[in-house]
Amino acid sequence: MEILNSISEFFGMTGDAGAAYSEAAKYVVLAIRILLPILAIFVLYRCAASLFYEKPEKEVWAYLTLPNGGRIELTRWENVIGRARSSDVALEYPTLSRSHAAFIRDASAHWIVHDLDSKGGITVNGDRVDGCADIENGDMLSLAGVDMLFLTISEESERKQARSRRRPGEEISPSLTLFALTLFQLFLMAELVLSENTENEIPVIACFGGLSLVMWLYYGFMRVLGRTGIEIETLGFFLCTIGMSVVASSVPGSLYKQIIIDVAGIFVFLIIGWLLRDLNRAKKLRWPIAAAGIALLAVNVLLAKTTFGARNWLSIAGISLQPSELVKICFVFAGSAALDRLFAKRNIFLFIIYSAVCVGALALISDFDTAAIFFVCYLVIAFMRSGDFAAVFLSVGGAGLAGFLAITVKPYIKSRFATWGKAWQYVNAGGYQQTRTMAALASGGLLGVGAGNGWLKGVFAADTDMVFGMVAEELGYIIALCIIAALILIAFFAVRSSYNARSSFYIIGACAAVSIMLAQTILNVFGSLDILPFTGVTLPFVSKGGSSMLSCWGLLAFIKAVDTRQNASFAIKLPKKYRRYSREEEAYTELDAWEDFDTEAELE
Amino acid sequence: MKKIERRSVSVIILIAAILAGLVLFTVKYVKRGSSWAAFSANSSVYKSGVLIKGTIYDRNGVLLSGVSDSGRYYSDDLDVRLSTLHAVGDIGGNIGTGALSVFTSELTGYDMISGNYSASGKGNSLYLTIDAELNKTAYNALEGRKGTVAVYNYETGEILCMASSPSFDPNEPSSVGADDDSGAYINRFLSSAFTPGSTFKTVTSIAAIEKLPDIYDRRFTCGGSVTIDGNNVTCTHAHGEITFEQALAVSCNCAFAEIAVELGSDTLSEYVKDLGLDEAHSVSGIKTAAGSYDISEGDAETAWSGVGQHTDLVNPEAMLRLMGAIAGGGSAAEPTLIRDVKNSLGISTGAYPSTKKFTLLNPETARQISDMMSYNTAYTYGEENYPGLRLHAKSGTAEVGDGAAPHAWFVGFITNPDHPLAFVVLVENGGSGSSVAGPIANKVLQAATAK
Repeated sequence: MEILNSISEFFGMTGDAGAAYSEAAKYVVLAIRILLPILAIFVLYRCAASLFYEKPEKEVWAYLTLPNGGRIELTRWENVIGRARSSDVALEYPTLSRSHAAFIRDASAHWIVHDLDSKGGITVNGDRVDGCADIENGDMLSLAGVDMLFLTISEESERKQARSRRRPGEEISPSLTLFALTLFQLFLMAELVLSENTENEIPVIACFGGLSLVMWLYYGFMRVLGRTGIEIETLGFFLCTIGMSVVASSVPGSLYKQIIIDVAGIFVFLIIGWLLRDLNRAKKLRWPIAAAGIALLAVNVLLAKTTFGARNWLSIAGISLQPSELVKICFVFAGSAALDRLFAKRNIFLFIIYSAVCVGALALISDFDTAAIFFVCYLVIAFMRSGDFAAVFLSVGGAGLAGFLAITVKPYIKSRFATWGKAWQYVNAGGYQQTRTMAALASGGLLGVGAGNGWLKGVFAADTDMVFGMVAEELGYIIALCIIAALILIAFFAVRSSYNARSSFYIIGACAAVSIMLAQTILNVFGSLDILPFTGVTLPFVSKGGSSMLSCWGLLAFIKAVDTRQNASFAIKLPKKYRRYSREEEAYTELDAWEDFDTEAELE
Repeated sequence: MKKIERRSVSVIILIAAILAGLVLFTVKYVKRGSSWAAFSANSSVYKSGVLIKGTIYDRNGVLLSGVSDSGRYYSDDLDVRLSTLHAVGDIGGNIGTGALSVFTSELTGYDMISGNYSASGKGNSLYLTIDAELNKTAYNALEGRKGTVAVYNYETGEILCMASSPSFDPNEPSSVGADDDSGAYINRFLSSAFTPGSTFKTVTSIAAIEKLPDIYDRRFTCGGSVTIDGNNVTCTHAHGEITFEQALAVSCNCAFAEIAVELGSDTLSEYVKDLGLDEAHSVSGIKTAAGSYDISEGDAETAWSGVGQHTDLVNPEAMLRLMGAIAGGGSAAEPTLIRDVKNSLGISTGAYPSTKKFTLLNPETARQISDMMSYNTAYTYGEENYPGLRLHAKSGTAEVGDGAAPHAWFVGFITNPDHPLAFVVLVENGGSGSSVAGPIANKVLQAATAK
């Protein structure tokens, strides 16, 4: 309001005129309240439309030519061949085993064939394969007597293929989506500035402006890299915008810190995305990153001091850090595995031990909420790696027992369960936060009382554990639901992209990353609404908290790495020289490309 | 690969869990959102537990309670404060049926879409159906005795008068001690049930009219007392030989004891139920107290219950509904308390007053009992005592035992086409119904019809 007053003074308005001005401000806020949800829905709609506009197009990496002249495309980097229908290439030859062989390509276009304990065996150019063997373009293979010629695609045809595929952003322009999001940020900023509770507008204007700038800089950077699929990041920016509004309302003093964290988050996102870009590199990094995770937890166990019931904070040089947040990224890395590793049974046991150590360490520091999130992520990874429901149910049983023990041993957890579902009977005890969250949420209605005008922010942990209620109160239930919609969109896209991913490493990584975000969403939102017991878990991107923000952006990189739409993701390498090439030949039509591709002379 | 990509459904399970949880919560939110928003921790509308949004007026726009910068305030007129307290509610929220406690959504302007957001910051204007002047008349007529007076328009459902005593000055809430047992916080009209005494004879009469075809031809001989099942039912004096109409007019216990026994407890229970006397009702969303009618065994109990004694309990609001239904030829409008709600721009929501009809009796029975109640006035209460009203009434003097004076009841309606009003007057331990409660009814009805 100070700025408004100074403006009205500047124009020589005094008394009544000034009052008229603040009366006008009321109507501006009235309009913004309605515009914000419309813009939020518009941004989400455009992201969803762009993400799901068309079916994913396959990429072809190699061919198998059969004696009968049939040509089979290998559309993944990891292909299982066998009689079973669930094989990537299902062949109806009676001599083949159900899962006979795996053809695996690495990031440097180097192919290996694996014998999956087949009955009939494999030969390459007449030599018997024991376990696995390197194969090259033109090799003659025999799978239990079924002969086939192995042909890789050349860099040239890879480029042609890339040119012929549809690129995101052609139908639904990302710049218009970003423009809508910028308007959203502008209106939100205006609402905060007009709020009578905002004492200092400068940081608000600076930080919202800064966030917009970061967003457009990122977009420009991606354009330079030739990438146009930025829906996932746009959703991330949307969520960060709401997080910024939460901070501006509850702790305006932390606004500059928040923008720094947002920028740091983008960098974490870019770094992890870059690491994942090269599958060979990512696979090599698994071990050191997994070890780093354990080390972080170990330091946490040894040094952390008790804060708020769980010893999960670490202060280094005045910066407090939640190691368990960063360990989430390590955990996803450790859990991801390419197909070649999945053949070895012992790998799953190593991962189970690793998970047990992580969850155990978290229990040791009484951070049961995070332990629960890790456990959900573990279940998803274990199921994806083994496909074994029995093992998963066994884990659930074991964890149920451990959880039961935790409840009986830890009185504060027991009390949370005691008041679960009965918050309104314990409004000033176990139901304190939940009842206030619900009252604030209802008080905000669908459109909210305006950013900065809520009262829930005065309640302890409103900007973290009860942030869903705080957003619902100030910005309305519609925007609160948009938060969840954005997270679900991200998760759904990860699942959908799995069907076209290059390596199971990326599939497992993406699914594990979104499972962490979804588990946090479930515990945070439903805990504060008394659908589940109350927990101290953060809502991804929205809750205040530096470590949490960094880990969310880090996890988001795994979703970028599974997105194989043409020219979409910076975490997916493009064919060499492709970008220069594509610029030179704008006139190249799709049909020409495919015709050239088919009449490729390399077959000889 | 295909296998692994298919296993990504595990993420779909998590998404489904979120969607299921959201649906569950949203249903709860739609159902209970307004009561959540009315939680006293909601600082948008409460300050230190006091509702700081919304102004309450009576039907004529007389201010009953408003909000200033220093908080909630009440009318300047002490009598208005005392007589409308139970309709308006107190600052401490002890009167659970007061407008401040039950009409919070109407006062704050809460709705699903806008929540508690109010552009003016002042909330809504709530116009109650009650008339502050009439309430004052009624409250003063009670002269400090415990009891309640209520008057409602049985064609529109609007409650014009709803006073409950004892009351207290809401500006001095501390005047009611923590150990208070007078029931000052209770709105006796809505939240209490009392022994009905002879007013219950209207119920027995309705049953007799429908179940005993020759009832009008019968003659009852009252010798001052009658022995039923070894138990004496007594009258104030011997009424001699009387007709059915006369039995109601002189309120002869002997005659009604006989009728009750002949009807039987099952029939009476059925009528109590059909006439809505043993159940809670909703007055603009406020749940009223339920009455009770319970006969475990024996004709003696049936006889006493038939004259409104035994363990019979009736809520004054339920009695008022019955009177309305009789007056309206078997059906009437549900009693309501909200006349209008206007938002901060002065625009009416248009939802009020809402007139909903209910039916208790068939028209012929209603006409007959109505005639009998008119005969009561002519024969016993005296038309000259109720000038110009066209009064149909029944008095009740309900014995409450323990040596205490009986409750005085006077219930009925007037058939003035400009003022279709039904009423209930109850004075706890007041004494004789017709001589104590009757004059109060006259005073209030004269004031109501003078407008």
